[in-house]
Amino acid sequence: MGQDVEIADVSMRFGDFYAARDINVHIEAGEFFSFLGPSGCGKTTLLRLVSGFMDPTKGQIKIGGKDMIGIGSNNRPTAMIFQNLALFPLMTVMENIGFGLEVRGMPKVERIKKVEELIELVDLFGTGNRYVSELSGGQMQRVAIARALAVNPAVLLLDEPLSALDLKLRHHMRAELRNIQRRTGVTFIYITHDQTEALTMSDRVGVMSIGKLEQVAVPDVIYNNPATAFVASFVGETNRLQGTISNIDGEYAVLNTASGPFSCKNPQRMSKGEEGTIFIRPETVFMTKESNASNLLACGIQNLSFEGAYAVVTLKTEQGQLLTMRLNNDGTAPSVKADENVNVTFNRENAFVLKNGDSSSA
Amino acid sequence: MRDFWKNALRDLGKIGVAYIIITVGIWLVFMILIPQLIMFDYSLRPMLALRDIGGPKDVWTLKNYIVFFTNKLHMAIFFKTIWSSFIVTLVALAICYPIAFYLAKVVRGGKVGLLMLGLIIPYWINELLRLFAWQLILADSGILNQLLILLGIIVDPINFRAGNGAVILGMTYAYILFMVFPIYNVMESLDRNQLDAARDLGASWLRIHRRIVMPHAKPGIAVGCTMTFMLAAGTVAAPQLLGSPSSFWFTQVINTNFECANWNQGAAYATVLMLLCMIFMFIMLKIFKVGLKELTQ
Repeated sequence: MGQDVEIADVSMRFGDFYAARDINVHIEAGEFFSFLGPSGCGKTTLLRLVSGFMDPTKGQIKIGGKDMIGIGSNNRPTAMIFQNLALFPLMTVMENIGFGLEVRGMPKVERIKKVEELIELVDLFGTGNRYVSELSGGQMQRVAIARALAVNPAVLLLDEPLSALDLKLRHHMRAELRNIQRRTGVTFIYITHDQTEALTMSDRVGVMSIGKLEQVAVPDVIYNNPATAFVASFVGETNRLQGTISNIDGEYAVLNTASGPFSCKNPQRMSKGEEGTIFIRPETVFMTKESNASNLLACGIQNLSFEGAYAVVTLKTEQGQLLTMRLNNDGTAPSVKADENVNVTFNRENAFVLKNGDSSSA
Repeated sequence: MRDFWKNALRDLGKIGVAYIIITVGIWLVFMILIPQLIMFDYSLRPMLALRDIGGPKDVWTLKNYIVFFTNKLHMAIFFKTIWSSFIVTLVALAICYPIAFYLAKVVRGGKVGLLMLGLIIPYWINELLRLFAWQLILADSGILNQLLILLGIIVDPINFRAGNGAVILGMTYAYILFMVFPIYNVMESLDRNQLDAARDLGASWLRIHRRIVMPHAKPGIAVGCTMTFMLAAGTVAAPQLLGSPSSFWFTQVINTNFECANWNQGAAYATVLMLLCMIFMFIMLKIFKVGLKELTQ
């Protein structure tokens, strides 16, 4: 069964460079937790700290309430699945999966039985005596999962294991991973730069940028209520309007931007006079005929790109600001042509102003 | 095979292919085939006075080989040489395996180059000079004896060169690089994640080496051992300079034969030594289960 992981005040420094800085997060037992962030944000470092390949410069890591500092990776109740899988090429599938059991001195008969169970769990029938180089990408993935699960880890650490697979297989393996996690009850800590992967699989997501944990929340909160400008721009498509707050109205704020004043939510409780950016998702932008609606933007259609279920419309305001709008192909959206002039708007509930982060360059 | 030539012609052109055939041909025929055949021919003929060569007495015979197999002293020297070369190989392996692993997988960045340089620098000096240096170190009034006396460990100097120890030491030193580099080369291609993965699954360092590193390094170990063994079995400089005058090595026996103008006997002995080296190589290949192809990679 899974155990909880407590990461408290953890910092990891390499020379002058902080790969992780003051990270605080508590991952529940049996949770599927993802760290999401661009490459170089320190998420792999964090994973290696939990797995015990290194100890943090500062802070504490507890697994199942037990302090892990100073305990090597061979003695932690964790198992890791590497980005390149790191299967042993000179061993057969069975030997690979059974390696952790062999290390623990499990007698051969028992070992084979356990390995066969795992082969069944990850759906690898008939490959036991093959070498890993003879397997397909998806099969190798399964061997890596089985090899890690063989040692009955309380926490399974996954370092972008799906990144090498093609799209279709990736979709399939996502569902499979989620399934295995539910069946085994093991705590999964998943590292990825792919937001869809993080949002679809995880119970909770932690978004990271340059060594900092920006937000920890359930997927829909990450998407709908990002805590920082970095999270808002890294997760999902978004339109940005920069400006200064000119008025506060309860939960809402009015921002003066180059394209005029706009009203939106103010989750960070910013005050009048502060500079910020309004974030608007393309799917919440819609066209309007009312010329006196609030949050109105007069635009020309620059480009139309039909994607099947929806069309992506690139708009340009009179001030030269580019916006993206998504029109669902459900028969309700009016048809538009390139170079046409339209008025678009958004509800203030669907937009929010956030402080200009120093790391909003996603 | 047809495809091979067709591709070669397309990639290299007629002149390129001709150049390769000629150079490889010269190398094969003049450097390998002819000298070996001449020596083999010599070994099958009796030693004759100049005027008898080409005469009725000049016939092929196994006499030279029979002399070897019936000479108890030479047989003993031969086996001692095998045994000692074997020890040199083992000691070199024991020293070089950790060095190669350290260089390939532990040290990171620019330090590798520096350490490599450290390994190579002694080889800028001629092998004879390096062995002379060991002679000076191991001499009765040499640095090692002086140090031991100074530290009060011994009272009278030890004659290090009495047995075979000094020769084995000198050879190990002389051929360390030939063991380090092949092993280093294969270890370098080992994915560090595999070490991490094995560690993560709970393996001790000993087991990681036994199950992951050594199997991966097998071809390199086989090459290193083969080269070291052949060099040790075939050198004449180390026993000449570091061996005790009372203890002969097989290469010295061969050398003496040639010096005494009995080239035929010398050639037979050299052939025996060559056969030994070939047998050793094939045993290594068998033990490490590597093919000739992998060996040359």
